[in-house]
Amino acid sequence: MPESGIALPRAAPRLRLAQFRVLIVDDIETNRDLLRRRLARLGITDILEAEDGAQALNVIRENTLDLVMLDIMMPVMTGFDVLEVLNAEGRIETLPVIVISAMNEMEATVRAIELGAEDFLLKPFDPTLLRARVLATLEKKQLRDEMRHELARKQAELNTARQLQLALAPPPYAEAGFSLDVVMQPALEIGGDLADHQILPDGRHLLALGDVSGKGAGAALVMARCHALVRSLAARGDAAALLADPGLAAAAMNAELESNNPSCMFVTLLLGIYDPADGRFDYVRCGHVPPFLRRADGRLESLNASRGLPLGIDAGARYIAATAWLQPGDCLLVISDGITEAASPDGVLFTDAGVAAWLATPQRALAGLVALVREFEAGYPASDDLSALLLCC
Amino acid sequence: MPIAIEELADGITKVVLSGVIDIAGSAEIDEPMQRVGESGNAVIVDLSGVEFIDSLGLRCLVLCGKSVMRRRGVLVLLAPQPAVKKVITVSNIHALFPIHKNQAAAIAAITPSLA
Repeated sequence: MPESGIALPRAAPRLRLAQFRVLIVDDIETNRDLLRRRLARLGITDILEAEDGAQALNVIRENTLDLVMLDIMMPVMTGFDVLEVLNAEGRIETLPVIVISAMNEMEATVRAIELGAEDFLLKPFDPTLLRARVLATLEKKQLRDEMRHELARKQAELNTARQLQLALAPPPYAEAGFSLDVVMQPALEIGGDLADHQILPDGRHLLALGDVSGKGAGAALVMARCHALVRSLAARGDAAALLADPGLAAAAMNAELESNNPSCMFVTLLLGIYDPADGRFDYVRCGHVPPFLRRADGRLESLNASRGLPLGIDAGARYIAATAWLQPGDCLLVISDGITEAASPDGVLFTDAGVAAWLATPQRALAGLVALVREFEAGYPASDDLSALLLCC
Repeated sequence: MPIAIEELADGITKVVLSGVIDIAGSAEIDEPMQRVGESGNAVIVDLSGVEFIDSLGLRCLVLCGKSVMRRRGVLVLLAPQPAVKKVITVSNIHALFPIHKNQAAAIAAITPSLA
């Protein structure tokens, strides 16, 4: 008795044969009658008939069928002609055809299989072989239909999740003195990057850009949890302390994310608070790519004074915040590593250098950077989620 | 084979990783790394042969290292290539799992924890 945890398939599949509809195509009436009786003995009673190829195609177009039993040698329109039309109309993938032929017609049989027939049966019919071939074909069709249905359902679910997730991305923003542009492009239907912008009661702006380890549904769930945590900072009892020192805010978020996290999904995060009144930018960098600060005179600085582990790894981790002062004409760019690790077809990475090149000229919107990265990838699918925040003073 | 495990003297486990540790690479090393996490007390992860590592690969390292640390053990990283070293230092993971340039230094760093 095998001790695997996997259920082995049953030898006789439990098909509800009465549900299947079969079309018999043969120019000779007695052949059709014989096959009808044989199928009835198997339990298949929903049977349509056609006496030539043209009639068969009409029946196929007007009815939902599960199987066609097709005689090859017919006058006017042969079984081959029927198969060719089924191919041209794109029906052959979803409608199995078993061709009926004779022992001395093997070449014709092979040609029919090449034209897309699923299987063949020889006349005179052997009851055992008829049963085996018909049941096998119907079971395959049922499995394929179920799989297609399941895939469509999952795709629809993912699309819903995608709409919900994209709705979490903040819109671009501008007020006197500064503008904010945001981009969030998941690599798959849903992703693990998060971007947030919140105006605090005191007029400062809370900015966040995060990257969950991994992609897909699991990462998206952690992303949603993280997004909620960022949003909740301002509402907590200790909000004043947390928003005065982003390092404390990071520690609070880390404590939440580290618990109930046996698979160690971690989040890199850049959390910053910008005060337009004096240009002060307090930030904490939790294992995240250091932001780029382009000064008005073109100098490029890397904001790596702050450091800390990604959130969710070590309950006791300490986070040290830092401060930068933004002047009019400065540009702050926070990115996820989907940009620096974007790969060209020959495996070269975009890197910091690619970003620095873009920032060589003053920029106010991210569309240009995204276009550069996509051009660099040259149409190949993105390997990681792409997101960025651009704050221009 | 992207992973090879050796037992060195004094109960030190050396894990040699190589190639590309991305989503596919992590899938290959997940189980062996988990086993090392559950049994190793002094672990050296040799990264000299790793060309690329992404967040999934890091997560694999973190899972293993956390298991080791839960049992009061130590895990250190050995000689990562520049690109890999950058990923590790940007994420600050080296604060948990220190990087050493050569095996002698790694062993010297681990040995006190075995006493």
